[in-house]
Formats: sequence, structure tokens, C-alpha cells
Amino acid sequence: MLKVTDLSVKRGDNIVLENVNFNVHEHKLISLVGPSGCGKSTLLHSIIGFVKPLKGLVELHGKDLINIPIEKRSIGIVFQDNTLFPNLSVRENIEYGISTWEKGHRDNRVNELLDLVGLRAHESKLPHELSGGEKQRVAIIRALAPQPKLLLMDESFSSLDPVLRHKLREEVKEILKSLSMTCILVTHDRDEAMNFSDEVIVLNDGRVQQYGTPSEIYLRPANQFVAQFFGSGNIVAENCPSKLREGYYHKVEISDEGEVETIVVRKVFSNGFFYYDLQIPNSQTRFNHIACAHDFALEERVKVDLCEAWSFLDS
Amino acid sequence: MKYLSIASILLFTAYAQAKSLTVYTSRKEHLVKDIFKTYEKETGVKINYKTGKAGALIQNIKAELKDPKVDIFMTVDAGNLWYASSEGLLESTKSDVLTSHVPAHLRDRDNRWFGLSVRARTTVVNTNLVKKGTNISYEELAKPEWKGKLCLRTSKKVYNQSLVAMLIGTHGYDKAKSIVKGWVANKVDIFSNDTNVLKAVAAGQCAVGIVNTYYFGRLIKKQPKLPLAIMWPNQKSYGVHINVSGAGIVKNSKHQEDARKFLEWLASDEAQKQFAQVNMEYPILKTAPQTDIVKSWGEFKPNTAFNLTDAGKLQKKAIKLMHEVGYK
Amino acid sequence: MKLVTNKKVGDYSYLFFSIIALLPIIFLFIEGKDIPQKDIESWTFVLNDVVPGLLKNSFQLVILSIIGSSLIALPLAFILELTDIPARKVWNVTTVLPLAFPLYVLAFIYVGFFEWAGPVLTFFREAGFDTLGNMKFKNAFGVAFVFSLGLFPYILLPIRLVLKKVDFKLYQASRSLGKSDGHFLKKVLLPLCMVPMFAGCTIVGMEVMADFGAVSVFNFDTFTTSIYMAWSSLFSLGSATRLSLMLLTFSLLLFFLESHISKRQVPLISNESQEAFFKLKLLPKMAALSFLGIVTFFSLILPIIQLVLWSYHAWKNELSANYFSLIKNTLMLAFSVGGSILIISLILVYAERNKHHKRWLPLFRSFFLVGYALPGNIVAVGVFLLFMNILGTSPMEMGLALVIIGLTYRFLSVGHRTISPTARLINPNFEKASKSLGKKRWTFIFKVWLPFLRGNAIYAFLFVFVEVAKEMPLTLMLRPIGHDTLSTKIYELTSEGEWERAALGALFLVILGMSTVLLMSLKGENHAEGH
Repeated sequence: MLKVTDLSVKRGDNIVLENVNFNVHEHKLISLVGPSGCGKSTLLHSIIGFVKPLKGLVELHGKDLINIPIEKRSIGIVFQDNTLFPNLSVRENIEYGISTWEKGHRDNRVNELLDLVGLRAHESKLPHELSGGEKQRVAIIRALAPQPKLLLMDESFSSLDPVLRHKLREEVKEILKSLSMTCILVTHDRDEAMNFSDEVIVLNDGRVQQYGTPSEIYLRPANQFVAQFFGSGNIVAENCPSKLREGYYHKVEISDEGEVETIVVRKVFSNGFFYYDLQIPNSQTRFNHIACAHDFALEERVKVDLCEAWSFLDS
Repeated sequence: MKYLSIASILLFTAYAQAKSLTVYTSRKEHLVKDIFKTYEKETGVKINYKTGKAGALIQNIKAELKDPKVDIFMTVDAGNLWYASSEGLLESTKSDVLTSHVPAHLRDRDNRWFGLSVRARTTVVNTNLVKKGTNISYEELAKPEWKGKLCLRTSKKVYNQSLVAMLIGTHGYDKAKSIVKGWVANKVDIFSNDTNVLKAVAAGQCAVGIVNTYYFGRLIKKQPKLPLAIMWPNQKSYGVHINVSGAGIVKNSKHQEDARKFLEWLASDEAQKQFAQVNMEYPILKTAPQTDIVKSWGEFKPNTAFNLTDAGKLQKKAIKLMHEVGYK
Repeated sequence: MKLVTNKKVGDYSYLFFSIIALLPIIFLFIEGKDIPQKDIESWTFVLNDVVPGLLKNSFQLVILSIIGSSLIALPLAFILELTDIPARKVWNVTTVLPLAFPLYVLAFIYVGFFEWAGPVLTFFREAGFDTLGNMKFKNAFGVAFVFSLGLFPYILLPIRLVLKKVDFKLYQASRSLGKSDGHFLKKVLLPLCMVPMFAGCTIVGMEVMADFGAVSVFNFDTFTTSIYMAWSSLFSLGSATRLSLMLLTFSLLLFFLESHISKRQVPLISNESQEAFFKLKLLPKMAALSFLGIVTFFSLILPIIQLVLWSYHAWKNELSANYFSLIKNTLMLAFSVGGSILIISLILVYAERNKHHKRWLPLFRSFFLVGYALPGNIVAVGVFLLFMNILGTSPMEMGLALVIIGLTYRFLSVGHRTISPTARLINPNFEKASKSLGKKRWTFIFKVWLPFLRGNAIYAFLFVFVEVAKEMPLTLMLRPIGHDTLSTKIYELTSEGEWERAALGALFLVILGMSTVLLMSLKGENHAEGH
């Protein structure tokens, strides 16, 4: 439904996006993820029209958006913060985009959306009287009020504290799914990208690195950057034991029957799982971010099983 | 050694202060500086003076009254002189010289102050716009023929307050009110000083203005080619409104004798000549000579019927009247 | 165990002195209640004949000036904050420099410029435009014109501060929601400007009511000129007192109105986006630049040129020994008042250092600072009455001390608010630490506290210095005779229409004013906010 072809965007003297290509299908939740400065916000801005591309095509439902002004594109956007009109109440903020609707119809729509996020009781409050999470909820339903074809979210959860972030993300995902909305979320948070979306676009240095489902990204990273960014394994460097092939990407699993011996060099506990960095002794080879429920100690010897190996050059 | 020099300094200053007078005057410094110096040279009495606005000077004298540092209060306009005396700030002075040199209508009825020079508040016309021989008077200017032709100084200046006080004293409150009302009804242009009134008349903005004679003298001296001329008003009736600059001895002054002598000197031949000359005014002493410029304005009939003491008495009424008719 | 701790003594002293500070106002009420016999005639005249006109004039002036200032300030704020107009840094300075001109200086410049024999009307007459050429400038519209040019920054700055905080993303959000620029303007931008604009308008109202010098030049009767007239011509202290009470009521009303309005400001989060909202096409850009140019011309360039031209004509005659004594008096007064305010402010701020949580502090502190909210004429009458009652005789005996005390009372707030915010940042633990090390209180004050505040103290001194140099009504009323300052001399000269002679001194004051305005804008302080 949204097709981006050979998009290149310049900001000042720098080329921020180069030959970006992807196709977003309707009703899908997409994450646009990458490190800071990789151009993801610029990509969003090009889609919505805040920025004019150097070359390339942005098409919505087959129509070239290049000459359509922002007001007419029917694309909604939710920013990271500071998004609500400070002098208008919650209700007035939501009504803003649908002010031309007939009153009854408009009121119903607003009520419906307020109920969706459980903020009906706060409808007369001003933005500064709301908490961070409440503000973002309002920002989201405000953007949804005029029934846009596409919703863009620019780091919309990034300014919230972790617990709230997680909760809100789930809530919003449910809402978007129930409304069958197509949504692109820009985030620098890998977990967020993996958990929120149907598909992930990985961006680095203005270029698309990979576009696929979360499990594809995680299990079959297309290149070194994607692999390292999602921390899901390692390319074998040098001096590797015979079972491992040089220059290849290896997917490993901790197992008692494992063939390769490693030492725990780093240990992180997150979300109920332990994530270990395991190093093959006397070697530069290191497997990062290997998940396991078992609690190993640092320096402990752990056996790993080779699951898969492939070379980026093949794919 | 230190104490000796201190003692000698104190002695010296005490001696130096032996013969001196202090004058508070609202006259501009350059108008009185030389006269004071002349007196000093002649008599050895030093004149210390402070200049300021009449109202402020009066407040200061009031404050010092129990133990005044000042001996003489010198100011312009009978209104100010009357106010000082009515507040009890001036002594009644017995002096034959003063009573003979200063006509009765130009000094306080109780001799608390004496006029020292005379100025007339006269009408001045644009010679291109007003024919010679036109009958002109303060009352005449209220008539509709003069609509759009009159320029006046602001009512806030004491000279105009005394002029209106004179009208009240001469005609009574109601008639005076209708006269001033007539001025205002003639769309009079208001200016902040007499010189600007004269300039406006010369430029043709209006045909006639009312100013003090010495302002006319000063301007005409600088720019003799201006189409301006004095046309003495009220020559067929009571005469031109005159006012004085004058002085009185401050009550409880510590140098009453010297102060009296100084006043007498100011009212006598030599001082009168200088006094009148420096500001192109008329001397109070009839026998003192006028400057040539002043003489060139010709003889005129002054209003001698109105005692200037009353100008002060009626000042408040005059302010009220001007405010009522909207004379700004 | 001490029954009365040091802290309590400190609190009670502060309260005591703050009541003392309120005495001038208290005496205004005491003396104004009953009118002395000799003043009754004057007062009846004033009350019945003068006051209705004053009310009408004041009302007219305030409304017209507010309208004029807003018409300049609101578009200017939009142009400067929301568009990509070139040379923004230049305009930032030129739109705030008009504050350097005392209103009475702007007044006589324009009265002289637009008088019948002046350049503009003469030109019109010679060109054949008789109605234009005979236009009268000395009316409410003329005064409002001058006030608008001199006071619009008080509305401009608060609006700009609010607009600065409007995130560019809000505009983007509005567009993404399908709404036009006009809709965004109407629904978000303009409503956000209303609170700062109204707050600025009340400040303009206060300045208009308090002005004495400018309305005097225009021969326009207001409360301040009537107070002065009662004081100096009618010699009716009773009338002056009662007029002061009336004006006091209006001033306090406006003051509380401003506080009330400011509280309604919706809190805005600071934003860092630098992007200009509206990128103007050529024609609107030209229009905006022209508007900026016209405002700058009339509020800044023309006045300066006129002052310089007049000064040039007059300087040979004016620059006599007399002038140097005027400058000397002005500087001496400014210096001594600056010094006394500095010392008193420091004492006050030190006394307040541990009291900020106390609920009574804001109220009693305002007693010390109320002088700034009141017109100079009122403060003069109040201080005069205070000392008349203390001394039993005319306060004029106090000489220079009277006017120094009056000016200190008037401008104490300027010193206090320059020092207080920074002093509050000093951690109270410093003093405790110093005491625990066995050092006396004075050691702490001179080695730690004062050095910390050195920069602010210098600024406080400078700001007060300039305010005193420019001040006119209070100095006029309370100074000893013969002791003229530049401002009082300008009053005397302009009341006689002597524009040229007044220009030289005025130029000096304007340059002085400009240096502080520039200093303030460099320091980032907002003059309008602290008023």
C-alpha cells in the first residue's frame, strides 16, 4: 500500500537516505529501526511530506505523493513528545482534525476513541495536567480520529519509563490491530521493534539493511550490521575449532551435548532470561547474547551446539 | 599648628561672611548675576543666591522660617509674590525710598513686597494680517471675527493666570469667564512658551498672540525682519495688563537692615537702568531710562487701576475659570 | 533553652522593617482621609471640575495606547518568532532598544517634529495639503502614538517568550491532521498569545497611568500632572494626597490584574527546535520587512536622528559649566541611590535566605518592593508625608537626603530582583559548613556569600543607576532648590517648548539607557517579565 522506490534525501549537504526501497502492505505494523542518525526520522518525514526528496518515489495506494500537500495526504503522525496543543483540552485536541465533521458524528468518534484508551474521565483536562503515558495516548487517538490511511509514530514510546513503555506499547498494538491500521513505528529500541511489529525494516547509514519479519531478522540476519545490531550470534573471526567455518555466521545454542566448549565472559539478566557472551578459549571467537534460562557463573565452562551456519556472501 | 590654621580659617570665613545677603530668586541666573556683582563691587556686601522655580523656593523658605538662611525672595509675577506674602513668608518693610520709587499699584498693600521691573502682557500682531489702527483688546479677541486667528500660551503659565485674574478683578467672574470662553471658542492654538507664540504669529499660523513684552524684544532683536509688531490693547479702556518682577525681605531674616538697603538700591537709578536693560523690561522708577528697543515700542496706557496684590488673591479663581472653559 | 531563637528574631525584624517600608503608603491613607481646612477649596475644585476629566483622559489614553502597542507587538512577534525573516538578530535588538528612550524624550521629539512650524506639517502645507498641514498632534491620539512606540516592547517580549516555546512539531501535527495554516493560527497560535498579550497590556496600562513627563509635554491632563499641579501651583498638599490615593487605587488594580492574568498561563515545555514555522514567499517577506522597517524607523531611527540634529544646533550654547553641573548632579544622585539600594538589597536578600518556605514572605517582601509598582508622583507625596510627620516640619529641610530616600524607595525592587534569584541558588549548607568550621558570620558573608553575588550586584547597581538617571517626576518634586538634574532640566526646557536645548541632555540619557538595554538582552534577562 505504501511503496517507496529509490528514495534519496539530502539534508543540508549530507545525503541522509540513499536508494531506499520497500513496500508496506496494508494492515501491517512495521518497525523502522536503526542506530541514532541513521535516517529513520528523515524517512518518516519524507513519507509524510515534511521533507522533499532529492529523487525517488513515494506512492500511497499507487498515487505519487510528491505533489500532494501534507494536509491532503491523510497520513497521521505521533511524535516522541510535546505533541498536544497546550491550550486545548484533551477533547478539543482530539476534535482538532475532525472539526469539519457534523457534530453528532464527531462527538461519537471522540467518545469512541477516548473509551478505547480509557481516558473519558480526563476529557476536559489540559495537556500539562496529564501524565506522560496519558499524553501519548491522547496523541495517538488524535492522530487516528480523522481515519488516516497510514499512521506514523516517531519514537513515540521513547520518552516513557520502561514499565509504562511496555504496557502502552501492548495497548497500542491491540488498538491498531483492532482498527486494522497500517502503522510504521520508528524506534532505536530493538526489543520494541521485535515485539511491536509484523515486519521490521533495519536502517543504517541511510540504507535499508534488511526487511523482514522479526524472527527472520533475528535468526537470519542479512549482514554483519544486522547481526551485531540484534546481537544474535557472531561471525567466526579466526583460529576457530574445526567444527566452525571461517567467515561464516553461526547460530549456537547452549546444550549439555554441545560440541564446542566456551567460557562465560559476560552475563546479563533481562526479562526473565540470562543472556551470555561466550568465548571460545584461546580464540577471538565470541558468541554474543545467547539466551538461556539456566544461571551460569562468570568464567564457567559451557558447551554450545551448532544449529546453523551460513555466509552473508551467499544471501 | 593644625589647630591654629583651623582657627584662622574659621575666623576668616566668619569675617568673610560678615557682610553678605542670601537671595532666593526664580529669575534666570544670567538676568541677575551682573546686578548682584555690581552691588558687591559698590558696597562690599556679597550676594549669595540660589535659583529655582518659584513654588519650590517658597516651599524651602517655609521650611526655613524659624531660622532662615535666606534674606530676600525675588521672583516674577505678582501671583507668586502674593502667595509668598499670604503664607507669612515676607516682612513688611518700612522704607520711604521704596514707597516713593515704587508706585502703589505695583507693590504690596502692606509693603511686604515691591515691584522692581515692569513687563506688559500685550497683543502682538502679524503686520501682514492685521491692519494698523485695528481696535484691539483682550475682550475683543473673544469675538467671532477673530476665529482661527488667536495664539496663546498655555494656561498653566503663571503670566496667563495673572492676566485672567486681572480680567476677573476688572469684569467680575462671569464676564471674565465669557471672555476667556470666547478665546477658546475661537479655536485658539496653544503653545508652551511666548517665543513659540510669536513665531507662530510671524509664520502666519495666527494673526495675533498675547505675550510679555520682553519676549517680543528678544525675538525681534535676533530676527528684526519678522512681520511682527506690538499693538497695545485696551488703549481706549483700562489699558494694558502689566505685571512685575519683584522682591521682599524674608520674615525673621538675620540681615534685615542690609536687605532693606539692597532693595532700596535695586529700586534706584543705576540698578533700575541695568535691571530694565538686561531683560528689555520697563523700569519701576519712572525717571529711569528705557532701552532704545523698548522706547521704540512707543507709549502706552498701562492698567493702573488693578492692584497686583489682587492678581495673587484671584489666582486660584483664575485657574478654576480657565479649567472650566477648557483653556489648556 | 532559648525562648526566642535567632531565627525568630530575624523573622520579627524582617516583619517589623517591612511594615516600616509600608509607611509612605500608610501615610497617604492617613493624610488623605481628612482634608485640612485651607485645602478644602482647592480640593472641591479638583474633585468636581478636574477629576472627571482626568478619568476620561486616563481611560482614553490607556485604551488607545494598549491598542496601538498591541497592533505593533503582535504582528512583530509573529514575524520574528515564526518566520524565516532575514537578519533576525538585528531585529531582535532593534525591537527592544526603544525601551532605552524615556517616554518624555520620545514625547518632545515627536511634538517638536509634528508641530505646526516643524518639517512635516510645513511640507504638507507647501505641497498644498491644507488639512494635513494643519493637523493637530497634541491630543490623545498623539500621546497614544508616542506611548505605542515606546511601550510596545512590553507586549512584544512576553508574546515572543511564549511563541518560542511552541514546538515546530505542533505545526507539523496540525498539518498532518489535515488542517490549514490559518486553522492552526486561529486555534493554537493566537490563543496561546492571549495571556502574554493581556499581561503585557496591563503593564502598558501601568506605565501609561504612571507617566508624567510625556503627558506634560503634550499638555495633556492626567492624574500625575494634576498631582504635580496641586503640589506646585495650587500648593494644596491635601489635594495632591487625595489624587495620589486615586491613582494608587488604579495602579494597584492593574498590578493585581497582571498577576492574575499571568497565573492563567498554560505551562509550556521549553523546546529546542530552531526551525522557522512559516517560510515566507517574496511578497509577504517584503511586507514583513517593510513593517519591521517602519516600526524601527519611528521608534528608534527617527528619534535618534532628531536628537542628534537638535543637539548639534544647541551644543555650543548649552554645553556650558551649567551643563556639567547638571551631569554631575545626575551622576551623583544615581551613584548614591545605586549604592544605597545595593546595600539594602543585599541585606534584604541575606535576611530572606532561610525564609523562602515561609508563607508570609511574599506578602511582606512586597511591602519593601511596592515602590516600583507605583508612579513616581505618588511615591514622592507619600515619602514627603512620612517625613513631614516624623520631623514635624517641612521635609525640604532634609535637603538631598529626601530625594535619595524617595528614589531608593522607588527603585529598591530593581536591585532586589537582580540579586535575589541567584542568591537563592546558594546552598544553605555552605553557611552551616562555614559555622561548623568555627568561622564567624561576617567571614562567611565577605568570603563566600558576597563574592558569589558579585556579578549580580554589579548589574543591580547599573540597572538602578540608569533608572535613577532617567527618572523625572519624583526627582522633580522632592529635590532641593537649585539642584537640577538632566531629567528635571529637560522637563523645564520642554515645558517651555525648547526642544533643541533639551535634546543634548536627552541624548546623554538615551545613550545611557541603550547601554543597559543591550546589557540586559545580552544577559538574557527579560525586562518585561520582572516588572
